[in-house]
Amino acid sequence: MTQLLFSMAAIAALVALAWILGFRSQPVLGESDATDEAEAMLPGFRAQACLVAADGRAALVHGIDGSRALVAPKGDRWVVRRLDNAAIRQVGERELRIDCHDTGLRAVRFPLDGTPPGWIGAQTEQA
Amino acid sequence: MTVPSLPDPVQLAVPAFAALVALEMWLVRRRGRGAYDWKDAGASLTLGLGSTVAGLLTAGAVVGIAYFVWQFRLFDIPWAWWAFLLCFVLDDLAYYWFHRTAHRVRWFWASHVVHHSSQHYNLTTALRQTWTGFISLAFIFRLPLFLIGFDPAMVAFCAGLNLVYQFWIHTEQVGRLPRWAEAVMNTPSHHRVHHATNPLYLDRNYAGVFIIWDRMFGTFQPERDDVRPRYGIVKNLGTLNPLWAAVHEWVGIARDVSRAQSANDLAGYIAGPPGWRPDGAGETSEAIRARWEATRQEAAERGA
Repeated sequence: MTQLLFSMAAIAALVALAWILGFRSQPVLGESDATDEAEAMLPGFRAQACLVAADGRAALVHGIDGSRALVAPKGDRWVVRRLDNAAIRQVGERELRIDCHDTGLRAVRFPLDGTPPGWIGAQTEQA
Repeated sequence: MTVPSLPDPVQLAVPAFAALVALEMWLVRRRGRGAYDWKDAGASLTLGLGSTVAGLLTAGAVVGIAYFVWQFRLFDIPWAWWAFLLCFVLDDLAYYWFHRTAHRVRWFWASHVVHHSSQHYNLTTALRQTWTGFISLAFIFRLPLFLIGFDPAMVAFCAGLNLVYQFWIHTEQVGRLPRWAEAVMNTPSHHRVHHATNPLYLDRNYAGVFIIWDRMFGTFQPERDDVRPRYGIVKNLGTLNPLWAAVHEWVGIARDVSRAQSANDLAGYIAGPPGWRPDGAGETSEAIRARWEATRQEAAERGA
């Protein structure tokens, strides 16, 4: 039991050290980062358009085959998911909500700068 | 014959592991090479601790099976220096086949995927270990060593040394080692390839200590300066939660098995390669590599 407590304390100390050293960045995406990410992580996916969220913390990428992909944040890295037709909903004028049907990555908030392009195909959510 | 009492190399190395993780963090900050994320590091370390606890809970059963099998040994191998050496090399060969199977058969992958589920490659990734190794029957790959006649205590000692060796290669702080070392040993460079999801690197370099096994069995891929490794798994997890990292592939197997339409589907979902689907459209590493090759060829033809 002492060993277990000692191990837990050591883990807490190392995590604290990582935090103190500043390993808690939340990078933002540019369009080319988002398309590179989607093309690298989805085999065969080729991007033709991209919409980056207003806060730069997510992006939607339109493939030349008509499919759409979400680039979502995970710590200082990104995860990519293909989206089905019903996955994107517009909530008010300034936000999309994206449902990935994925444990740990359920409803992703996607703040908007303006009107989203038509390829997004967002369904309007009733208030 | 007196059985010497051997220390557990992993337990002895734990303080050094912690010190080296701290040193690596400092080097990353100072040099700007490599990366850490505090939550990811926390998840990796928690998975490491959980793995130790799970190992302790199942150790009795594994030791019992090992000594049961050892009764039927072909030779009485003595406690001699050459026996340790031979045991270390053969244990590493057994590790190669375990590791290769762990990437090619979903049942074994369900347990091993935990180790690959970080999108970072640093010393905490080395400690990111499975909680379900016993369920996936990983220990069966060492049974031949007991049948040959190596005492299970000797095998456990060599396996511990193997694990300790593998710790330091999980880093971006070391570039390439001298040529002889890159030729014979598993190195940070070779193992970065192993942790990468780039189609060129996928399912390569399974070695534990000696890279010669990959060279012998056709699974070797050197790291290329023009192809920067992208770490993680083909479908990276959407969360840093260590519990989900530990069980997600088992949940995936259960979900797929419940939907199986035939015995063939069932077998494919359990014993097929990760990503397998009955319609043949699954994202297996072969399919990903083939699509990448085709895209490359297409681009080359357009350029010609």
